[in-house]
Amino acid sequence: MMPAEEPSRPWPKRWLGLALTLCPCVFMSCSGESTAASAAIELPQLLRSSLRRLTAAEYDHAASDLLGADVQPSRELPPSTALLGFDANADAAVDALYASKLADVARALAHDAATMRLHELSPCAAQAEPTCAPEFVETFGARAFRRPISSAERERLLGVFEVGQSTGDFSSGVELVLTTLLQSPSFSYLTEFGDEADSEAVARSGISGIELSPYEVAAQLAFALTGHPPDAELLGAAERRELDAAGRRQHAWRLLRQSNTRFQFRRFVAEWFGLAGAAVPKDPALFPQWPGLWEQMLDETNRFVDEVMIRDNGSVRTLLAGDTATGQAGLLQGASFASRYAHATDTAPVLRGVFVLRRLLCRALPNPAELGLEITFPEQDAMLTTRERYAAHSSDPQCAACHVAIDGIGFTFENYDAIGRIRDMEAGQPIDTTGSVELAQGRVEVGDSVELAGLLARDPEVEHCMQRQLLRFAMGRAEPQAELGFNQRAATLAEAERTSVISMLVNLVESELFARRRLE
Amino acid sequence: MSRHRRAALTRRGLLSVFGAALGSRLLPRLQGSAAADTAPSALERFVAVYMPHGSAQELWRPRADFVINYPDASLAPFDDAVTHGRSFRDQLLVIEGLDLTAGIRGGSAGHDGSRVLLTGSAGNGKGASLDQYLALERGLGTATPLASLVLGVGNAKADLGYCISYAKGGRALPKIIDPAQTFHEAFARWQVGEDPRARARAEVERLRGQSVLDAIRGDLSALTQRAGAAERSKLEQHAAALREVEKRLGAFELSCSVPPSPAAADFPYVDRAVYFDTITNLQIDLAAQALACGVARFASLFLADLSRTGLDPSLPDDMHADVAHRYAESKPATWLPLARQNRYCHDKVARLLSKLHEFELLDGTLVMASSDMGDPARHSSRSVPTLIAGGGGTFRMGRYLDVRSDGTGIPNNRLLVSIARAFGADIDSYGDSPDPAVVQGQLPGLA
Repeated sequence: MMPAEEPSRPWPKRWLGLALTLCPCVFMSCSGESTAASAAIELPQLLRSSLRRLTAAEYDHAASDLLGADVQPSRELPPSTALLGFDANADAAVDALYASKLADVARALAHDAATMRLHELSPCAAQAEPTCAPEFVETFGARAFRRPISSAERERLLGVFEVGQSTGDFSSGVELVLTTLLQSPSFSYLTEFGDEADSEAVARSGISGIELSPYEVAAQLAFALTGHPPDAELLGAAERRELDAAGRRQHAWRLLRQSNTRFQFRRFVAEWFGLAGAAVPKDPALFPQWPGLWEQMLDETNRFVDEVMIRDNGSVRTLLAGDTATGQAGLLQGASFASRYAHATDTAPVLRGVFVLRRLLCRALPNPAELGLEITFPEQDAMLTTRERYAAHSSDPQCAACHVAIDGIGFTFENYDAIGRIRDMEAGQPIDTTGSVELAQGRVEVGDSVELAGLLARDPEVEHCMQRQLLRFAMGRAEPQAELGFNQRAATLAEAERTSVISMLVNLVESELFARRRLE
Repeated sequence: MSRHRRAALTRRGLLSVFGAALGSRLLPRLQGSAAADTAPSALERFVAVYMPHGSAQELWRPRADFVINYPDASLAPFDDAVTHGRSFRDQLLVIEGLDLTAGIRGGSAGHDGSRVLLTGSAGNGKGASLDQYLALERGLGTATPLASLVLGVGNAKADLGYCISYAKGGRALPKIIDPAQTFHEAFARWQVGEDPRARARAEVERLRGQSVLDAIRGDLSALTQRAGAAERSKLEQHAAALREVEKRLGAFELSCSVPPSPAAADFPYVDRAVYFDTITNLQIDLAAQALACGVARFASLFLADLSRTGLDPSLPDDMHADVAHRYAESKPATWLPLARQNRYCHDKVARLLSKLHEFELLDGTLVMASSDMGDPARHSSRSVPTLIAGGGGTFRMGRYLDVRSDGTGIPNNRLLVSIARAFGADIDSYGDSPDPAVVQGQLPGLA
């Protein structure tokens, strides 16, 4: 057990907490010509055409955009099922509880908007001219659906407006239309149908690859890069059919220069590292200072991610291993990582090792229960170090099959305690941070986690894994063939590009993978 | 059955508010439509409870003659008339030897075993959990204001390992973890009151709500027409959700005594362990009340991982790491802490039985309680401790049933088949597995 005293025990030197000032020129400097191959993707490597429900954050942004006010309806909505740790999940549906809560929250938001901002929503409301309602429906229908509305949709929404108006006044009509839009599938799902005419052609010819419609591309692009709905410029580009690969690239860089894109990278890292929404309980007797600390650690993580995105083009190497020139540590040396992957009282070499294998190397790792293996949790023993307590893992051949790899990684972090502080002694013995990691070139021995992070940061498997995780994050699905295709595309890029989270996101948006789908 | 009517909802209010013409339009929908091959059953309600941390079988297993109140017995709350008003020993069936086989074979065992409890399927399964199957696919929940109540304590996550209720299509259903929300969904929505102005307002709201819903449906069917086959189950689930929302437009009148709204001051945080006990009691009481009022016939409750609740001063704070992980069949000293934790959960199930008894519902209600693991330290999803209670004489109660042969358990799918059949569903298999032997057949020895 760890002594509870010594509150002044230091955390490792790491992020400097520099104020965030987004510098467009940094992004600009890397927006040069892409070196990506332009070879067509084969059909199986396309993502399946899907209807992806907006994530909680995306829904909030879309609702705020529609209503012209900063609202957070997702706070009232039940949480969604994550896809391999990522919020975006193309398999998410609308269940009864969600629909019920959404009906409540939509009504309340629409009521507030129509009561307080009627004249912003419908400037002609006071005159009550006959064209006023159709204008409102046209404008807000298009804003909600991120495309011009069809005549059937116009009729439908006007019908709603009339019911609203007939049971109240003009503002009741506005309110009821907004209530409808906030619950409409065309608002809450991102469609991938392609143009109607195109899909009919596809159906006739039996070709099962489709091009997304320009408006669908605009919506996908905006949500992938910013978490927000498309802005007027993007919708204009869609209308003018300018969103080919070059157009997508141009708009991607334009959006990346906007300050709110940093939230998207923070989200990516938080979801990738399992930090988002995690409850991280610590023993109050051992760690009385814990309340509030986790939030500070997340702030620190976010600031670091911002810095890497701005100053280093989102280099996965810097994210993981920091910058040796400045002595700034990376995420793997971060307090948030060490605390998240630890128990309430102790470090957790297994959780830390499993994180590296599953999340950074994208390795499939079975649960012991799946293998029918009996788990024995190491006994508490103040006389033994954590490493000694976990010794059975490597002595029992059944356990060793996986745990030599898991613990070999996990042990390198042993100098960070359960809340990420540096420690050099445990159970009266000096901490041993040596370990090893199995990489393509074979088993590599490392002295500590700094060495490990440096190794991982330059490892091609980690690079591929980051690309796959980014694809899952942006598109909300995990389709192995598409991921392989994305890796293959990345392999044709310069090293600086394929190891950069930002460049890879732009590359994704630019690629055929982004703009085409497989119909099933 | 007739005595339950006393507490059931009536449609009197609907007719008096909206007039006969409107009422007759709505009535067929409210009456629901049980699937054609669903036979009438004495059972009307089903409640499933997930209990964390497996069990110490040594102090769980009944002694000879079904003695369950021996010293340190974790099942003692079921035979505790002082606490729960009466003993439920004669309404209890203790089943040993059910394995979450589909999960063990399909990669959803251990902490993910809760996925299998009511679905008989691993993580990639496409079938619904038994509560949802009976409520929606068999139509037994379509006549009530809510098809089902999906409740939880402690963690609202809709991820693997945090849910037992799954929709058709295999998606986890989110739980309500806040008793105030449970109250709102189960009771507050349906109260209109006698005030004529309130009734008039409700009628306007109904008209508006119907118009909104029709437009949403129009949009959904336009998308459905264009979507690929692989998207169908998602959109069907959305359509089913809208049918549930539509029920809110009907004016159900609750003729039972509606409980008071839970006092938020009693549980200022729904995600802090110190309030879990209060929240658990409220969720149980509200669920029983909702059943009594005819708000729903199906409910599931996911109890919290009891880490650090301090539920028993003699136990370590960290139930998960210091009790569940320490248990060992070979070390008798480790049995009691886990048994005490088990007893805590059993006490909550007994509370549910006691409430159901109070409302005269116990005979028509089948309660099932189980865990994701048997031996928690091994994270083994074999021999999960399973309890059946209540039940209208369908199963023979008041006994211990060991379904193992030569120490080998049998898939929990059999129990799901048997329960579904007890509710009148003429089925022979339940759940998804590549091996038909896993999903087929009834559980022998129940009758």
